Amino acid sequence: MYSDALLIIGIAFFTALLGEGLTYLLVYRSEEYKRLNQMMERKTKKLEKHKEIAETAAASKTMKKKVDREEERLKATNRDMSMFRMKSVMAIGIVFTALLSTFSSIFEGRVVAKLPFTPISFIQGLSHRNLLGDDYTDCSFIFLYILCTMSIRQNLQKALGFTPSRAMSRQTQGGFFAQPGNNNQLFR
Amino acid sequence: MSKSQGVNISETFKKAIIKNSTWEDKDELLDVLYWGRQILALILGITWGIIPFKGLLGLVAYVGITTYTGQMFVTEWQGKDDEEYGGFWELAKEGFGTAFATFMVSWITVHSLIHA
Repeated sequence: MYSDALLIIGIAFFTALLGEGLTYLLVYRSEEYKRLNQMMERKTKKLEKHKEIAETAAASKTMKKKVDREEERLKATNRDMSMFRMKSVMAIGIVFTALLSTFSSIFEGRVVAKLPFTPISFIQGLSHRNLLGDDYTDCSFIFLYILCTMSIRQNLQKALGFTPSRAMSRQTQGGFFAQPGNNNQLFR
Repeated sequence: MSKSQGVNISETFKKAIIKNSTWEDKDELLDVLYWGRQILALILGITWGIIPFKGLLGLVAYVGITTYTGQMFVTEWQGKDDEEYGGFWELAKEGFGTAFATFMVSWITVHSLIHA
């Protein structure tokens, strides 16, 4: 009965491969993206070095202004990279939204797994979505799919080397659950 | 693209299992921590699913074990000062989110297949 869980892992794996494949074809392998990425890495390393010097008591005002200017330039390059990716990411997002809707309707009302815990109330809205009854250990497709995607997609990107360096992600984003360079995992 | 792509995996693995190895590239040790956390998450998820270890206590136990093991690996096994790597929270955060998802998927799946 709960072999649906294995099927959902397979679906998440397939969609992760598809997502990364499409992103590679449309974004990662383009010369423009590679150029921008290398520029970002170079600027980030330079900025981190200069920040370390600027934070010392001996650092001059000129040094601190230089760091501020470098930060602005880095932000500008980051914006250029985001703009470059935007169209492709949106197109892939539309494809994945359609895929997700299709799978959601296939699994609607189906208990795909049994949770070994009772989720807290604000998670129940997701884990018990479109399921009948009051047994909140029943797991819906969307909850398991989100977890699978978080795990499989991010590990795949890391293994394939599609994630930016830690220095770059320190400058651009952060957070406990954040994986460098990855926004909106479900819809890419 | 991530810098660690150029690093030989078997050499990195050898350094990881040998105590007090030298890590010229800090990112390499953090990558070991990341992947080690993923493997630990998978093992704990499967184990919790088989026992079965149920309830939110299972989640708390997982978080405790993965955080402690990660810290001990870097500070005790590899003999590094955690401040060199950004402190306790940077080590705790390394791969936490993805590993948590891996743990949840393996725990839920194994539990569903065996006990439900």
